[in-house]
Amino acid sequence: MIDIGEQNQAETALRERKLPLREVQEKLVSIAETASLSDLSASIAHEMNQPLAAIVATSHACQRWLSADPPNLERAKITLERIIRDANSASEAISLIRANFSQMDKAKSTVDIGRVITEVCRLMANELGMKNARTETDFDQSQLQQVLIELTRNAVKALEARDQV
Amino acid sequence: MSTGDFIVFVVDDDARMRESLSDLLDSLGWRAVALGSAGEYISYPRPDLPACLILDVELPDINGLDFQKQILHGDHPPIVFLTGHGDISSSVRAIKDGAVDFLTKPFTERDLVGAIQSAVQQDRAARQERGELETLRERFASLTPREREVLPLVVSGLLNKQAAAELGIREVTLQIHRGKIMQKMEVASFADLVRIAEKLQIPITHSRRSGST
Repeated sequence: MIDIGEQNQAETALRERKLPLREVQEKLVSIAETASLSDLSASIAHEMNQPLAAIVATSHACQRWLSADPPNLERAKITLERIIRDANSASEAISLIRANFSQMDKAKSTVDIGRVITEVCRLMANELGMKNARTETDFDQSQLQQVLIELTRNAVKALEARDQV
Repeated sequence: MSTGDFIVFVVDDDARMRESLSDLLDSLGWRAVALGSAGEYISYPRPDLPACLILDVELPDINGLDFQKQILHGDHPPIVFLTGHGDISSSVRAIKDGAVDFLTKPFTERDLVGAIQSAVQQDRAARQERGELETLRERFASLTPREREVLPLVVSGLLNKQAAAELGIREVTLQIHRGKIMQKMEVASFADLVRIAEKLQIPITHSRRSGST
């Protein structure tokens, strides 16, 4: 969820030049990040509810086996093992999410555009092969610019089309 | 609730959830059958016992709420819903269609146990009701065609002589039929017979109103 009020405020401030441009930009970026964070936290909650429900139910079962007269240690042991297993898989899920997060935080670095393009070609090879299309990677800077311009135009068109609906 | 005289069906596509619920029900000494989909539940031969159906809303083959609608008029046990993300409209819909409870994961043991107990109790009462009605229908089926003509007349409140006149028979004969009906329907009083006739939805076709005082 994006706080529209805050975003508008930032944009107004930008127009009125009350805040330095850089500061405003940073603020906008942080708002956008919070938006995806709230979506993310909803999906984490959903991911966690399932194993938590299982862990809680199994724990109660374990408690009952232990307080039975005489205690059923065999069953208690089995349920306890399941609790450990489910708790571990839940914490693995959390680690995975955390890893994805830290990837988002990774510092900016220079990249070799040539390698990026080669990688894209490799990823797309299958799809291109199905259409009998051939790729050429021999181009100069103006041609690369042309590609980026076309992409941007497509994006603008897509936005216009969406607004018309 | 005594052990073994009812059964709890768990329908959830998450194997962990099925396992943990089976563990819990098992530790309570309750009989549980855990199934992975609505289809598996439908094809499972259900024993003739009071039961409860614990149904996950997000099933692989059908939405739990749609499945509830499908089996609404069949002979199925009361439903307790479980969901990973409960919203108000779903829970309202479920309860309106007769669900006993709508629990959001992770739920407390107390809520689950309470929901199962009331579901089983509800099913037990419904089954008893159905059983009684079945017995009454069998008794009614044992009546002769003539007795079946007499029954609606007398439970409508007609005097014996009025009912006899209606059928063109003698009052003494009607009294014999009436006695036979009471015997076959196994009722101790005429008031009981009227009550049973109502349960069997025997139409009240006549009124004593036009008769003598």
